[in-house]
Amino acid sequence: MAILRAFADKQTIAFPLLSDEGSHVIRRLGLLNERVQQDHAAYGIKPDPRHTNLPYPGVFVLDEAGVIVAKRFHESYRERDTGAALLAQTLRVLEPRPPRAADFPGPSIAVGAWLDSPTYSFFQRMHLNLELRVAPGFRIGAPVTSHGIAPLTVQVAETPGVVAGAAEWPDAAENQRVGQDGAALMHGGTIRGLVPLTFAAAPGAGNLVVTARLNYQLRDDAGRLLPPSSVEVRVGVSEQAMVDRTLPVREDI
Amino acid sequence: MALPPRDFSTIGPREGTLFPEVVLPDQHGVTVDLHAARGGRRGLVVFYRSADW
Repeated sequence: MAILRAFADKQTIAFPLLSDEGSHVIRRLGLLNERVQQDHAAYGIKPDPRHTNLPYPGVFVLDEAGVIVAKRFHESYRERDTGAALLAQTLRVLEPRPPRAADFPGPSIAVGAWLDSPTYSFFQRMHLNLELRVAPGFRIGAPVTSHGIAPLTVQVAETPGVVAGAAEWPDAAENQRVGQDGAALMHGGTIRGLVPLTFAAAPGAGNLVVTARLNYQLRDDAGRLLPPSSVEVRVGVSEQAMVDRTLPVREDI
Repeated sequence: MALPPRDFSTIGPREGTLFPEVVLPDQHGVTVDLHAARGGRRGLVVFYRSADW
């Protein structure tokens, strides 16, 4: 408990940090990882006699009734979601656009782009956030396959040390509109996209730039299709030094 | 070096089930009933390896 209190004070944590001394709850819930000692190298942590009572690292997301609506567990003790990424992915709570976001103009649209965090650490997981604002009088082809209009797609440029997942469009469904022909799915106004990224570059990789290209097609309100187009966005991210893990092994726990 | 993939959906409480009752002391020594502390709000329950090292 003293350890938790010191940690909470240092990190200015206001929420409860629960102390499962002896890991009884961890065992009861079936979350005890019994192979940490043997597999420490694969977990990216040093061998340590304190590793006998560790849970798998992860998060349960509970709804108002206490029912588990999502589980996010990581194989490695190094991988972390940012809080923003976790909320966006599990609860569909989108963070507001931060002041550091940059805008990239394209024909009849503007694309705001930012990362969940301006910094990354080893095995950080976060998102490239995209905010598409379509000019009045135009609709953009939806991310799903459309009829007669090119779908909205995102390609993240190959960047050493960055692994990109498939783009998600959490608020796309509510903004979805059927085109005048009754077939093509299109959006007007503003839609948000999220591209999951894992920063797996070795520590010391330094500052990185994530480059992505949005491919899209617009149609005006008179029903005329514009030629397919694209916008490139570039977002810089700086490396945050890792906490020094070369601590002496303690035998008193 | 890489570990075999693990199916975390079957490890620990499952999605769609009520999270088990948990009553533990917090960092101030106050006993916390997890579900009571939520007070009908949504919650994140995080398991992590240590606050010390």
